[in-house]
Amino acid sequence: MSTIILSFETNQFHYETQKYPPPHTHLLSFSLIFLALISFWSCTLNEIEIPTQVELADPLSKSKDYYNQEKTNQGSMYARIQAELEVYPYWEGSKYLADEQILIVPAHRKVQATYAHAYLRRIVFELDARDQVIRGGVLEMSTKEENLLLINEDILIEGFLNGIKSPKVTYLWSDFASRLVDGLQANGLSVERSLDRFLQSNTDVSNFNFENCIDWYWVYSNGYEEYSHTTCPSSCEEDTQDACLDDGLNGGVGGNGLESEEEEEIDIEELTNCHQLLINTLIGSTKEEFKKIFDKFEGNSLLVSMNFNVKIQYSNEYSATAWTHPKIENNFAKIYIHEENNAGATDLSLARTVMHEMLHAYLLFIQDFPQTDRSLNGLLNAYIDKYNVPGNEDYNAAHHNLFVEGAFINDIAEELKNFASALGYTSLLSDAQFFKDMAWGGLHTTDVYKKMSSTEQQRLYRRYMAELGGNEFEGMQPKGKKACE
Amino acid sequence: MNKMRKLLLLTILSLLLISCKNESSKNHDLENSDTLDLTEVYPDDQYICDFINQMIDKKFQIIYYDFEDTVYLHQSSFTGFEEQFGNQFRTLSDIIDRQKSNTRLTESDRFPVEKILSEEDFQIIRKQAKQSYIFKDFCLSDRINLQNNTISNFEEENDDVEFRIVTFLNISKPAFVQDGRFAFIFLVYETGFGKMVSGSSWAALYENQNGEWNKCFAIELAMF
Repeated sequence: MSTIILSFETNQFHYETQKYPPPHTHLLSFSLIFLALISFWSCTLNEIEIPTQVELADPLSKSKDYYNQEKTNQGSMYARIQAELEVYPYWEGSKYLADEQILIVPAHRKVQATYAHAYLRRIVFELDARDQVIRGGVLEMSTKEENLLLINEDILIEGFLNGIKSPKVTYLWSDFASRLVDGLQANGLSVERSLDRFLQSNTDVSNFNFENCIDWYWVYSNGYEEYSHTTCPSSCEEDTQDACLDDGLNGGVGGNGLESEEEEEIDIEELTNCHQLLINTLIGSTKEEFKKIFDKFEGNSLLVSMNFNVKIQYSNEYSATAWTHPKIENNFAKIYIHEENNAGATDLSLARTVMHEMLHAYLLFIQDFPQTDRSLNGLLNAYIDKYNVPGNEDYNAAHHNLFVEGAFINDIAEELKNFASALGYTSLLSDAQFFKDMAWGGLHTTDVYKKMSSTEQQRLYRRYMAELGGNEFEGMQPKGKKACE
Repeated sequence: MNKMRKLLLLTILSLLLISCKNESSKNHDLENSDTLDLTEVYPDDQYICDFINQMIDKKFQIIYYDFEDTVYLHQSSFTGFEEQFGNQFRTLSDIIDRQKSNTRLTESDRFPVEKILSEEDFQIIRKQAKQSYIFKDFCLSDRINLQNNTISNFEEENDDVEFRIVTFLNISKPAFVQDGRFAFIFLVYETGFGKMVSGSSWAALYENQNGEWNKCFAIELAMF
């Protein structure tokens, strides 16, 4: 016979099994034990139950406890300022990140606020593996880029807690008594919150009263003063969900801000139906690296919550088959296909072109959001450093050499084969050389290409031209069919 | 004592120079309007050639890959940038915002274009850069081969280039401001192996420092 005993050693449950003698030999002992247990239970019920409740409390409860405890440590401030800075957590809108290691809570304030730029305020808790709160505070983020904060909220907060800050965002991390904890920015400058009456540049002492609205500024360590927002008294009383509240959001969605209407897409609407069909087939046929990439662009990130978007359209600029805009704007990469130069291209040639440009777009995102893939970001930056004249930022040479040396060229070849399979090119699938040669399109300036023999270079070029023109080129026959004829 | 006098003289000369420069900038401000007669502020062909010759030798201080011995330059200036990127670069602030969007550049690394160019300067640049211009063979260096073809049809007429890499440039008319001290260009750099083309396009500002042109900043506009 055995029984299970709960132990509270080291604040963790564990189970012990003990052997007992036969009942007929210890009847008296049982009675005594029973009485002792009843007595113990009645005397120590609270002592037992309290730790049990604490241990079973969820991270949200622990975060609430942490918040209530920390918030009582209020600093001394003008009452009006304190009232305007006081945050009210909207616990019902909480959400977890990073395997429940991060808790994000909407942070309301009882003021009416208007903001100069996109702005987002959250109460953030970081928890350890045992759901104990490591730290908590109020994170304010501001940027001039529309929609950047709400769409990338999760990644920005996770990045901030890991010491990674976007140069596009101004951060302010305060404790629950509104005291600044961390105002260091990605560019090395630090920021403090100030109100108009306290600015160095403000010489109007007549305005030093708190009956009016307050203009808030973020003051940088280099002396730059940036207007952030204006707060005015609110009619809010007790109800912290009232519309009179400032919900700490500007430049995005309403509600509690956690159900953002994120647009995650590969936008090909401006292309012809035929090109749309081909690109959708390409996306659907990918299995390996490009499946991950396309998935990211469709919002199905495997690593972190990150919204990549890409728009593919036509532009007959330049002499190449396609080009990519080197700047991500509003989280959209832009790819332009040269309609005229691809007029005779085979389906396989067009797929190669799209994958080549998608890789450019992907690397642009990796550069702007290093936390998405730190390893690749490090490699990319090393290539940008290497393939540039000093003081310049040419991504093209760096990208192309990384395509080749980072083995992306093999991914293009492999996914092109998957695409060919989806299109029914059964007899072509065993021709590994064909897919490898195709993947070299547009990479003729790379160091590796330049080291190839003239024979190899010419073979790659003839293959490129045969598929691009959809016709025989210097003895080389195209293996794909002309797309969209 | 002599040192003191030299220092004083240098200071006075510096003040005079600054004064002259400010006067010059004011004149440009006054000239900036729709009725601006650009020919008055245009430098001559030789000045443009000197700039282009130097820049090609220096690969515009932008391009990583070496240029070939012969560089092909489209004879007509490239005027398509206004159409293509005009909406992105309406004002000097747009340039500054674009500089700031580079995640690899800190604020201290950024070239402070706003301290060099006024908004009026930038509007003059925009006007000049979209004007047609024919680059002149007589004053360009021997390594520059003027072409009327694009890199695509150029290959068809030159059998020998199919299996070697060629450098092909398309440049807007250099826009000079502040008495020719600064030059702004839009540049298309294309490198072809036959009709297989890659490259990039740029907006860039240069400063003439005692006859030496040096890059102030460059913004990449396209990669292909």
